[in-house]
Amino acid sequence: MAKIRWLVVSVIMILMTLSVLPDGAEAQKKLYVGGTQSLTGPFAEDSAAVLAAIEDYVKYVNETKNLGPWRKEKFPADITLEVLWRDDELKPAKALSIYEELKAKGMMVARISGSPIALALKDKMWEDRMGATSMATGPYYLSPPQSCFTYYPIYTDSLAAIADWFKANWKETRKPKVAYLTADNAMGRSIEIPEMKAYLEKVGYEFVGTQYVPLVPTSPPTTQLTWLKEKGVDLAVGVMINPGAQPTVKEMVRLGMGPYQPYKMTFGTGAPGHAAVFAEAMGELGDGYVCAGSFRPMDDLAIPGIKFCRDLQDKYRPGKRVTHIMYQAGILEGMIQVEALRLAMNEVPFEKLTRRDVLEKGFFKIKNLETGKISSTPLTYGEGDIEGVDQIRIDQVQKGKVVEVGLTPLRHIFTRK
Amino acid sequence: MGSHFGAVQESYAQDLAIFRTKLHWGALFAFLLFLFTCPLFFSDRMLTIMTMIGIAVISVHGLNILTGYCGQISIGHAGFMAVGGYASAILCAKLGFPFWIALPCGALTAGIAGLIFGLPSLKIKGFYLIMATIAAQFIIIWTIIQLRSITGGPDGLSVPKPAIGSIVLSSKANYFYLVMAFTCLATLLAKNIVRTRTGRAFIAIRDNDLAAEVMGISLWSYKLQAFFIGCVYAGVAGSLLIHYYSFASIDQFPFMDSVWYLGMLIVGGMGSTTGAIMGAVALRLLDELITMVGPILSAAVAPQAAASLALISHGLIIIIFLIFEPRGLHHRWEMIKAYFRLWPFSHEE
Amino acid sequence: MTFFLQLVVTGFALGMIYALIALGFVIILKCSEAFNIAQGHFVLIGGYLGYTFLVTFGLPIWGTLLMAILTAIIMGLLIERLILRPLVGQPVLAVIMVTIALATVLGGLATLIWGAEYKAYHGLLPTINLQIGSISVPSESLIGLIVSIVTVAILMLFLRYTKIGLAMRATAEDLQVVQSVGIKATTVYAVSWVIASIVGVIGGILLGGVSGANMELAEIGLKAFAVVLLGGVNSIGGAIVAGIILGMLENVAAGYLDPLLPGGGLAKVFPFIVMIIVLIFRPYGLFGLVRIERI
Repeated sequence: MAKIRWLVVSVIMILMTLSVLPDGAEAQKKLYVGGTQSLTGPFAEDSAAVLAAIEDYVKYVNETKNLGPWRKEKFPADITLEVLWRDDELKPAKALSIYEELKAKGMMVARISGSPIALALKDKMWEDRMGATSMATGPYYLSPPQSCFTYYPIYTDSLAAIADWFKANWKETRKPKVAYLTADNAMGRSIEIPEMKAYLEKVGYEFVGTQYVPLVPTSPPTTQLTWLKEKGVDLAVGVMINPGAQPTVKEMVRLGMGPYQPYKMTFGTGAPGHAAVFAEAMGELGDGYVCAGSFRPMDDLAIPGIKFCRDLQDKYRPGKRVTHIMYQAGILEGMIQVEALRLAMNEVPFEKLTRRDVLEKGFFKIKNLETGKISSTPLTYGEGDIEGVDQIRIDQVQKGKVVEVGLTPLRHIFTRK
Repeated sequence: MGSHFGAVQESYAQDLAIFRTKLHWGALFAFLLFLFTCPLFFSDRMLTIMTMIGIAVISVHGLNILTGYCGQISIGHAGFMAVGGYASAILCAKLGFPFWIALPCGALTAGIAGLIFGLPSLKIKGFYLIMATIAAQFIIIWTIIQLRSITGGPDGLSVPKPAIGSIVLSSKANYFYLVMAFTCLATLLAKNIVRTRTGRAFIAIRDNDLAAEVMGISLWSYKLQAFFIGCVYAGVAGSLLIHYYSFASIDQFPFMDSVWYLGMLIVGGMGSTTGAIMGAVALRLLDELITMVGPILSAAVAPQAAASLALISHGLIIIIFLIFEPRGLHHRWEMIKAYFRLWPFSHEE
Repeated sequence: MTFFLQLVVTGFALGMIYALIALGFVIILKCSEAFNIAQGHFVLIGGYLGYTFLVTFGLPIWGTLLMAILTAIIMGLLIERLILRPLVGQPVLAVIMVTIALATVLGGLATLIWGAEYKAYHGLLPTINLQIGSISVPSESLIGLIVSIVTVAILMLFLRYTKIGLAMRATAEDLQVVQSVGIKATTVYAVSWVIASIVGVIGGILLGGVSGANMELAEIGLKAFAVVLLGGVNSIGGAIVAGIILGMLENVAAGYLDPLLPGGGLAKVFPFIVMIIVLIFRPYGLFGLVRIERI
């Protein structure tokens, strides 16, 4: 028994020591993409889908040297891409050491897997001139604009888009009444800025007030909805994730509220409450739900980007298909990272390529990157322009299906001195 | 001394010294030399890991004084780190204090927060105290969110790079030196605090509070002292952490960190300064190991396997230690030392 | 006024679910003096089990409950035998820490099996529309209330009229006496863990019916602690009353105060504020035995 115990302890010790030793030599002409992932924690399933997509996309580029079925440019033939990633468990401390490790391995692009990681890494990345794609989006990227690039809008811009769309379809002569119905956490409350309210009033709304729903409700938000009904609200907007949005809409239907219900009210959320996920879980029960800036359903094969996703999966993971819509986000991230590397290599030879080149001659130069309609518009970045899209697509659930109902320009609500 | 076998102490002072033999001193110097030349031959990643370990060690020392020595179990340590970190961040970012003043101020603020949340410890212990400290963690984080105008709320707070005099600690190596200096100092202090009258009072309270009170130890004063000292340590650690990121955000102090500081203490061995260090080092290295294994496991099995590996292995390590090695790595280390001291006449346990 | 009543009614039903989950905690504590931090993770597992049986296997609701309870029994027995049994007689910290570690492992298992994904099963639980005046009673909460009441009643009967139930109550009073009359303490421990795991899993299915199964469900466990402390850690009745009180207070406080606070999130932190207040002023809770050592 004692011997076994000794053995176990020493094996663990040796493994731990091995884990911090540096790796061996690297092959030539290889570039890395990918970056830190949060496979544990609230973004776990998103992250897993993103990872799968990046892996598939890189296989595709390596095999065909194409960048996408709709793209004519080719990736340099003599350079191989490799996906490098680590799980940071959404812990800033781990993300930091992972970032250092990947940087030391010669990685010239990075990624951010959630807002805790963003807050811990963004300044370091800016200092190192490391360009990164980001799954998180928020006003913290805007002041000062740094080197993290998002592919869906900041929540306030999403809500402004919904407000614009709703107002455009408003038939009555009176002012429509708007209220926030939002998640009761940092994400949900990030929309409560004076600029947002000012914008709503500017486009002709009467602002009524705010109601909060727990991020993951433990009881249906009957009270909050009754309040909205009593105040005569026409449009409720907020930021919720699906576990919050679904019970909310379910309760709305039970209380007879909604665009197709006796009491007419429209409810719209920002991107994390993805309409595709919502429609799949709710079916016709969720009719009328609006979401701005979200991804399309994975079975919408008329869209070239979705078809591309499907083809990639058919080829590289038959039988283990990823159905989560964040697979599209992964494709976007892969495209952005690879495009930045490619653009930089147009100006700087592979041997001399640095992180700074990839950021300044790569990411900053991405103009109208065609994504096969996965993102609302083609992506454009630049110094100080970290939001890739210029317009926001608005989807509504109708008869259990996601229908595109509008496309409105980005309003850049959030301004910071 | 040459004529003796083994270590023989000839005076009381010698007997009480932490470093008693030439070997001890030699090992200490060799270790310090190694520590302070690290940046010369270690990569940035290793320095980051070691800096994080250093910060964890400081924090666990504090928890060890509070929990390991005084027996007041706290699962809110990350909360107190947040108080220290935020206090020093606000002083630096909003009031323009220099780093070397802000850090002790932050530590002191954390200590005071510790005093406040330590108050229930006068009435309750065991599970009830654990609940009070868990509550402390959540209330502290919630308060930070509420004080949006000074803490930045959920958006966080940018903090200028720390500078001591004219030296800006912007490089990894610089900051590594700073953290290691603090870690050594904290270890020395921790080792000595528990050897003072106060430290003995802590141990008496831990072992039997009733008996301690009968002996004339003021529970009221000493329990609060333990909370204060433990939380000052947490404050220093939190402050070092925030300045390392140059950014304060509540996500840097999650509830699970509080749990893992206690886990480090259990793995290392409660009530031992060496144990605190061992625990912090062991669990942080385990973290790194999991990070390395993750992609391999994901490729071989599935991403879920990689994701669950971290949670399951952390949990299992704690369970295994509690069941099979409740006195921690430190105890095992003592056994190893004893084995070799007596070698070749040692016998199997 | 309607707003207030609405808050109270929703809070009442919510509180009943809190109480149900807290009950599991109290039972373990009474029988084996162990504080089970992993109670919230039983709820988490319950939520996912609900999804598996209702959606994946397409079982009807009673079949789901039956299968979930069977799974819970196995889970409870395994946990008690493998993890808790070796620690009988260890200090309180060891037991608490081991349940925290257990919580982590359960979270890890949920990640492994269900990929930490969000799984919803709306519309598979029955819907009841109840309107009292202008107040609408949410359907899920009403079902939760009914299930909770039934479960609590069964539990009460079990503790009063079965041999093992009586043995459990006796163990809570005095372990040595119980052992000397030939009751196996280990059986009692095992049964208490089984019960805790059953009520946790039932709670999980109920909550899963509201918001779907996701990793956040585990947080409900922390609220259960507040309920337990308020009710008095060793009082079953106390847990029920405290659950209802806390559910209502939380709802009312969040309803009225949240709009005033810049950062919000009161519902999440409210139980902890209650906890601190209870611990400072009345550590034995509302109905607990005044057996806590006051130093």
